[in-house]
Amino acid sequence: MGIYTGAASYQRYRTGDKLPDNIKEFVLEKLKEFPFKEINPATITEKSMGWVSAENMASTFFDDMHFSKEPYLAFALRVDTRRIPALAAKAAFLGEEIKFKENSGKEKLAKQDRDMLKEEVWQSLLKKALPTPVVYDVCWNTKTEEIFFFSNSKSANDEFITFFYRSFDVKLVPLVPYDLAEEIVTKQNKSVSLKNLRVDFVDG
Amino acid sequence: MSMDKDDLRKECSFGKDFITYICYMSDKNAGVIMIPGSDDQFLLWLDGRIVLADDREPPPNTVSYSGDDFTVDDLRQAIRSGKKVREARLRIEQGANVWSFNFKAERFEVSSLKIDMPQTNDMDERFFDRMLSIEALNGLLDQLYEYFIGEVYEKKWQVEGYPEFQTWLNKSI
Repeated sequence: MGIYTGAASYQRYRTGDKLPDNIKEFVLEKLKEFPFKEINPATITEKSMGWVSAENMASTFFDDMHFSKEPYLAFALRVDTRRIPALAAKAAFLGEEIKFKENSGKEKLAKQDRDMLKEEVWQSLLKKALPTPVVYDVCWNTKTEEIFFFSNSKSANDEFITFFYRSFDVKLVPLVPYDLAEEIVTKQNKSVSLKNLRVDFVDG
Repeated sequence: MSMDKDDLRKECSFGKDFITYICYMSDKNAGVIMIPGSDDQFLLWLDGRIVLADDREPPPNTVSYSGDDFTVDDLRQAIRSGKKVREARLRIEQGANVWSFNFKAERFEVSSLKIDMPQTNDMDERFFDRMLSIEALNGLLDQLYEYFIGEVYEKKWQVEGYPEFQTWLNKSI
């Protein structure tokens, strides 16, 4: 849940690189260059990610500039993943193992046969697996150069930072206690090392 | 060997120090927070959930409270035993605005922030209402954090802040 509905959970970032002057056009171009693409069921692709509209996770149409809400740019990261439940994989493999033994007349499977069978079973199950979509809202305040990513999941945040850099060639600095303290110290012109700052509430 | 930025972020205890400090401020001032040099005044309360931890030696020694049974004496007792606040559910009130949310010390993550749903079906209106509410909350938290960092940097903390904190901490002993 994020920008439009429900309780909000988010992590804040600052854009750490110089941004182009024509930021809206730049972002439009990159959203169009890195849109979300559905996984082709005939392939063995496990994961697909890309940008979608924050208003409609099925839409990758940005040309109408609906994502621009001065001073914000709002869009979403969609990640589709195909997963095979471990027990389903095991059951399918054991079934194929029985068939293989019957057909080959072998009592035991050689490691090579076993690996090949496992791979075949995994690929066939993956093609049948429906992708599970997850959508994370993103809101970019172009005035403060702050970005909100609407998830607190560590893996989702890691994926977001990496994909954001791939898309926009812009590094994100997390607004976590240390970095915020650095900004404050710089703003206040204090010549103190944060490394040595310790706050003790009790003796010892 | 010099530490890189990620190490400094991991080692940094400012998040825990800050939430511990605002819990103290809230109790000391009966919930009223006034930041010197700012016109902002607001109410800040613990909202039914807190997790405190002593991370000095592994494994961390953790205690958590939820519901109405938790008292300020429990908070003082935990701090006296070396614990700091790792996570808390906070409630901030300023004028007609009310924010209730979980705040985690490690990365200043805000989660489960309840925002009144704007009474409109217009997507843009809804977007701006909610974003402005989120930005206003962040503004208050940033101001408070800036005040905190300034306070603990100044020699005043050792001379005045720390002794005052100790008076509050040992109140019920």
